[in-house]
Amino acid sequence: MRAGGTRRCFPGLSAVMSRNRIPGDVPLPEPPEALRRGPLREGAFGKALHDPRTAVVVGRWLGPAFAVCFVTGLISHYMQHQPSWLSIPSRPVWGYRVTQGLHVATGIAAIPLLLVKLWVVYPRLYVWPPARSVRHAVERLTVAVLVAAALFELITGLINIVEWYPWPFPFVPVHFWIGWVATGSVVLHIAVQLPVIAAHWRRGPEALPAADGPSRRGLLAGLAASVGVVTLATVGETVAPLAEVSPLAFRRPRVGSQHLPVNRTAAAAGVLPVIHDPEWRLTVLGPQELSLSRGELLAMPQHTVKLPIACVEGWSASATWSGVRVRDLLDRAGAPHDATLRVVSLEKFGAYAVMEMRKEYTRDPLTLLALTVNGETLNEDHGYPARIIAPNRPGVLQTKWVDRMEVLA
Amino acid sequence: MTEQAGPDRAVDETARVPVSRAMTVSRLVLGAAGLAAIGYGTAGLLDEPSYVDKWGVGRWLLGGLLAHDVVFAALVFGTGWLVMRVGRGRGPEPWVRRTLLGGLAAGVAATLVALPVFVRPWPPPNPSALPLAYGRNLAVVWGVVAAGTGMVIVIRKWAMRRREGAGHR
Repeated sequence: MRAGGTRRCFPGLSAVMSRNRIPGDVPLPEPPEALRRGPLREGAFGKALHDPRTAVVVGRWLGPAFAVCFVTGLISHYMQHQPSWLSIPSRPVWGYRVTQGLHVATGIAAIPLLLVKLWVVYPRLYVWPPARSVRHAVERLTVAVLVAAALFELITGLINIVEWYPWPFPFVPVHFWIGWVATGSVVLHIAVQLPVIAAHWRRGPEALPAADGPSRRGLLAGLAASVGVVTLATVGETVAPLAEVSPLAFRRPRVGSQHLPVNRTAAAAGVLPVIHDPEWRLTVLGPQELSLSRGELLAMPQHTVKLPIACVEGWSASATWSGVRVRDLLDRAGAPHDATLRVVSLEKFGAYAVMEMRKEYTRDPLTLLALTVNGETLNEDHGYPARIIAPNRPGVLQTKWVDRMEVLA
Repeated sequence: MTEQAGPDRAVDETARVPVSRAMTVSRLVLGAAGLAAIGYGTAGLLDEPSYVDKWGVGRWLLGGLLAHDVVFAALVFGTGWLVMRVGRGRGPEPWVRRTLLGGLAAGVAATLVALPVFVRPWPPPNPSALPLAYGRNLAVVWGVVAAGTGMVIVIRKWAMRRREGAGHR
């Protein structure tokens, strides 16, 4: 099948397949030429660098960036909303830290990538006629969905990591669902443009740009510099050795009380003054019921682990924790080996007051009911009197201010 | 300006690509997968119990699209046009202007990434969130970008002069 000799920049589906061959497509009348003004005029935009090869070259970077964001986003979603059929390992220890650091760093790098991709194809927004046929109109509509969803994901993600929620919807589920729409739109876009992508995957026999003219290499150098600048400026929030050269990082791994950042303070969680009650005891509800004071917990065998707190917002920080192994508490309560554990916080409001962990986590020797951090008694913002710390786990599931633990069947 | 680097020829190349069966099958499979994902995301969003304001997401989707297509892109193309046209024939050569635009793009990218920090209400929820002096630090980033851009221009000028010198010999 061959195109009917159309000479248009960026031939989409329509140019590659002859219009008449698609059954059910309805041609649309061309609007009066008098409406062709402003950016719609022929030659309103220069042609240099607004060509398919440049779009393919930039797209080859942008597509994988979106794929990384999608996959790491799914990982976080399923770790926070674990389906019954899915078993999640507690290793590698750094799993959540790396995947979520990557999610945010890739999303930030995707900002210049997407903007340059849109710059390359922007003249296509003013193609004339605006819709040749019903199918052409639908094709253009799917591009609008793609651009809107992609911008939405990057904008809401970026605003969320500065802990600001200026929108009238819950961030987590909407960012997740629009993530599916954005990813689906990218895949659909690749399907539509596949012949163009294939034709321009390798450099064609183009004329070399004039020595003084705009060059693709120059554009890509500028793009690479932009990606490098935004990445280096922010990635120190999760890569601690780079913290000093990340002037725009939203967190610093060692900045915070007890040398560790905090997401939710005791005041914000409404646990003051309850956590300072001298009568506080940890309740473990199992075949044998336990009730342990902080002193009694400290009298049990203490273990020290070095584990990161890793937030879905892209920052992470390592700390040294000590406390009682969760599996020791479960054994003392007579819990079966494969029991699921429910941990309930003293937290009054918030979606994370109740957390469940399965045997992969409860039986991991690194999973602690922590009593100290970085050599000091946990302070109130880090979860005093006791908190959970486990390997490869979202920060929001490292439950602070633990009230009781329930062994589930 | 010589802006006819050959996109038209590239279009003809595409026209000559034979559409193989593998290509058609790949497109159908990818297209179906893409549509399924879009449908799954849309259905999931509309079913989401905590999603009450049904037009809120639509407003933000459309707002982002318009913010880019109408405002941001117009500013970018306008700036590009100005930087390339003002005092053409005099002043910096076109490649110098393009290099400046590249530096400008890097600075703008950093500014966009930092923008929510400046727009959000202050103070942040706790002292460990947003702990840096972002205004000063953004100025530092612009300084580094400007220095890098200047270095690129100086090195290229030096290399061109050397090449010319070699050509005369």
